[in-house]
Amino acid sequence: MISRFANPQRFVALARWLTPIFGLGAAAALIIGLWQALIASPAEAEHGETVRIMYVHVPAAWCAMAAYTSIAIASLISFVWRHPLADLAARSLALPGAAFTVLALITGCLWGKPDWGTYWQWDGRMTSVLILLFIYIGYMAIWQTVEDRKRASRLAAITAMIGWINIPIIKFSVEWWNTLHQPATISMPDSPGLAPQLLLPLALMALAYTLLLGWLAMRGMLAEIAQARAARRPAPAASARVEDL
Amino acid sequence: MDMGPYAVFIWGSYGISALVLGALIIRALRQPKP
Amino acid sequence: MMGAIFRRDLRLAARGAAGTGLSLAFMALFILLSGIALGGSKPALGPGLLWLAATLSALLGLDRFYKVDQQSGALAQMSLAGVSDLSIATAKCLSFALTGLLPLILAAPFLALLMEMSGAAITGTVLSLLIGAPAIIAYASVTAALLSGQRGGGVLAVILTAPLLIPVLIFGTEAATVFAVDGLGAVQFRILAGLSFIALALGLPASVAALAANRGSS
Repeated sequence: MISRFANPQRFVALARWLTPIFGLGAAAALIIGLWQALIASPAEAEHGETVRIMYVHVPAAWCAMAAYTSIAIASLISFVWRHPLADLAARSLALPGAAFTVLALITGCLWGKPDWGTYWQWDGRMTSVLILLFIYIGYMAIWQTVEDRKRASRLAAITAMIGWINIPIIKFSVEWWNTLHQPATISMPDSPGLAPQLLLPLALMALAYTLLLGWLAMRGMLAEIAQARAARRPAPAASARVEDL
Repeated sequence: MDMGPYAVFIWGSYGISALVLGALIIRALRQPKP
Repeated sequence: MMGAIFRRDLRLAARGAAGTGLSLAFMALFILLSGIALGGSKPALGPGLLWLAATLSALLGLDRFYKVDQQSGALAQMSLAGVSDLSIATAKCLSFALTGLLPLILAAPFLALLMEMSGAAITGTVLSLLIGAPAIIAYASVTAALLSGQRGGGVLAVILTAPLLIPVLIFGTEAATVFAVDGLGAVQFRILAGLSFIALALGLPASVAALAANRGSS
């Protein structure tokens, strides 16, 4: 299937109808999700209304990780099979992924202040998200700094893959460090163990965010294909009339 | 929609999310299509 | 061939000792600035500050790793002479170990005195730096290889390498601190060794790939 879409034409044909589906799906999930998150769902037993922040924090963090994993997979495909669209996919996921990472961090801070009394703690999860932001920045810097696109593609792919393999190692190390240096019991609540009424808005918002990520990535890929085509189109013939000089 | 004593944090979170995601969406919508 | 590259690098380093000298100066400066900014000796912070000083200093001097030879065409000549990228990378890593990192590790005990660290803390720090050195070198090699075709900024090198070095930093400082209590048998040292091993296993192939990409042969 992957080789089927190596041809940009085929991808564009697919994306033409798939992108609006993602977009409309995201919009629908977002509307219902927001209604559930802000209005229909109950407050939480222990911390009250602030649990609603979870509905924008966890999906953002999830998408930040999902985007980077997708970048790593696309990088592998680009590196091993030289699939022309794989680079494009990786590149198009970078900025949205980084944006989700920033959102996860900011909403995490805003959630931490009311629930645990401080904007930032060096807990394992938040520290790992902060590190992920720098991994994104480094990855985007490669594309920005290396001028030759082909060279940039190889180098960016190596960067992404090395970064991705290191993420479990980083998480392990940061958790270890955290248990030693930070007061225990303070960590962002996890989805398992949540009351079912709280799981529904979370699931809807996660779905909305994921579809949005897909939509953003595909729009980015289509835009680059459009730009590449426009660049290849021959320039309009220069005017050779004396009056135009 | 009484969001309790920490309402500003809740609205702040949703606000910044709307801002950032909105900017991404507008950027995507203005990109050319093939 | 690897030996020849290694000896050549040593000769170049001895001749142009400015690179190593500047790295040492930066490391000492970092400790000096830390002392001043933190209000004097803080022995508890010693291992962490020394790890930071050594790591940052090594990362800021990455141009000597590949870039100089890449830009002068020496790397291309080596491959034309039939040297494999893996040999180049391994030889360069060994050279950097000796001329780039080892001087810094040897300077650490002296800088440690500025911070009034205990003997056990100093020993622990030096040992942790030695055991963590392969990881620093391996990931520095990857970044150096990636950026060998670029002009400019050592800061990008630090940004690219830093996330990869966080585990090493964590367990390096932990090992250094716990050495006084548990000695070399501490689990932190074993994890540190494991991290170095993994880093070599990941870093050498990645460096090879990056060198190949930058030579334009891919």
